[in-house]
Amino acid sequence: MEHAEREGAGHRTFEHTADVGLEVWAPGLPELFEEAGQGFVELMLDTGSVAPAQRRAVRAEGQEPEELLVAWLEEILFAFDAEGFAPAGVSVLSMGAQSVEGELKGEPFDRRRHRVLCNVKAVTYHDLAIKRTDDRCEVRIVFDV
Amino acid sequence: MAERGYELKQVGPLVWEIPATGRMNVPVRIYADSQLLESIERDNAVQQSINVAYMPGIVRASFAMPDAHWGYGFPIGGVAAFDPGQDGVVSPGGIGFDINCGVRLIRTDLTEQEVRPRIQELVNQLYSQVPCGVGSSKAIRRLGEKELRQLCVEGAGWAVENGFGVPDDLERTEAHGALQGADPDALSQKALKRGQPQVGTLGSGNHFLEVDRVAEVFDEAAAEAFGVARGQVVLQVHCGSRGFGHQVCSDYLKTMQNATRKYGIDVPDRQLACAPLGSPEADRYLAAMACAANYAWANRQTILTLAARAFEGVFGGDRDALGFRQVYDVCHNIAKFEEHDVDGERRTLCVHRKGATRAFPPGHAETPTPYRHVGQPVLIPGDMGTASYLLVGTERAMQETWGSTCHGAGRLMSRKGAIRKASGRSIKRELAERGITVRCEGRTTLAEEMPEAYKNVDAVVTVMHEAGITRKVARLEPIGVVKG
Repeated sequence: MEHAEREGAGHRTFEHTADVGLEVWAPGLPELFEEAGQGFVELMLDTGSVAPAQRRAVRAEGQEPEELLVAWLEEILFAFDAEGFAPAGVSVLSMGAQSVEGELKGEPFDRRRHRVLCNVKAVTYHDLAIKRTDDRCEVRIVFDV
Repeated sequence: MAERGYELKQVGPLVWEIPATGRMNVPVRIYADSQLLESIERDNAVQQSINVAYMPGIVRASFAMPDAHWGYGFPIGGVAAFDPGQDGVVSPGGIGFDINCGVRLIRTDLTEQEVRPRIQELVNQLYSQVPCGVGSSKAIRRLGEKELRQLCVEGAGWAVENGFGVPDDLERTEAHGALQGADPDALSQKALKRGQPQVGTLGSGNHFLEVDRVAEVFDEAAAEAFGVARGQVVLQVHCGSRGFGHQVCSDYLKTMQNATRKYGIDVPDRQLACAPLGSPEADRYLAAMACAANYAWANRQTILTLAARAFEGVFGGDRDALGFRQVYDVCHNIAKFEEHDVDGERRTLCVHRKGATRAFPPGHAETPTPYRHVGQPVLIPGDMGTASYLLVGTERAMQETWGSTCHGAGRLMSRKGAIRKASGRSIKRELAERGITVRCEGRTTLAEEMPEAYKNVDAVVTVMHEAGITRKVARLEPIGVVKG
């Protein structure tokens, strides 16, 4: 499945024996984080079944961009898995060198209405490296499922 | 495989070795027959075993079991021991996200003839007693933080004190269901929050409750000691530390990214991030990991009691009347300090088992007293359509693999690949035709977990049997399955 709704950005899933991965590309780092967040929630949930009725703030910190990316995705996973907030949309509001602030739109998880597509346990650092050129960032992220 | 980037030589009938070259501190040693070796080489698990051999203070070899497959950082089905006296490390990625994922086996006096006619009812009861699926919770009351902290220290003993099970269950659990050194102060608020509602829940993915019949007994003496006989019905519980353990691993992977830089350790993959044993970072991780391990034991202990209620509800009587007694509980994702012989010298090592099972021999102090004359029971869950195994540890395992063996069938197919393969088929009906009643929470779990997605469990345990690491005791075949 390939998505490219944001300008110059997109994501697609790839497969490994025991795990699932997400390949993400975007023009810059904030867009990459936003796209990765969006790809991640679409991997976990049929977002079409979730109403973007409520907002929830997300904030993450990390020393290097890769660590920041993992921390960001972990915050989204925590909101869903631990706090029962089903996200439909993800946006990045501001981004510094070692922190990112954003927002989820969604509603409380309801297992009768919301379709779970993939049970993600955790975000891994496996072979994680953000590749950056002047006008493009890309990354491959592996999830433990 | 003409394009191998490494030299591979056969060093025993079922043992293969990649000699230590370049930055490798030790060789890689793989236990496999030629067919399993091919599947291990195909999905890059070998390169991951080589990466582990680069790590500081690793002793003897980076081991891959016959069920080894692609993981993240360490392969799944990997064993590695690190020496604190030689700059050895602990690495959260060498244990995995599901800390103390493991298996509990319970025997009963019930026979297959008694259970088959009521299997649907039993599966329904198990399904309603033990919550499963994504974010499953509320099997028991939600714990307060203070009580959760106590559970983290006491492990399965906490559950027994709270009415879930009997002290004999603890006797028949690895480490008596509680690792020493657990310190709840090493846990994040997030971990504590995730842990509170999930005690007594199964979770999702490859985790299950399974009613099996003992289809075959290979070793009468060991089977008798374990209380298992042909035609009998047994119950397997396969799960771990739930979101709590995942959070502990995630928290400390972040800590270890910093530690790896701070101590100047060069690892080929961020997921291998680690800290020297004895450093504050390593101590904190091990204290938190022990909390998660203990959480998993409390979880399986609670599930045992919820499952007993299901059996009591269907067949009447109580645990004792049903002969419902724990055989053993053993984990397959953990790091532990253990004493081992290294070149004739007794040393304390930090043994990482990621998708590998402890397999201690007869006479070992940690082999439970009732089994000391035969050896430690080893529980190998297979796929839901084929079989699982009860094995026993040997002295040879102590000498060769730090007392470790395989942990399951090992995945062969990606989850999406399995879903594609299952398209247009009813896995539930196919299993029913083979006499297996399944109840499942997730919409895609049955397809993801279908038998063809796994390696042949018979071949995996046979390799370890013929290599003399673990002996086969009994083959267990599913008749009823509950999956998340």
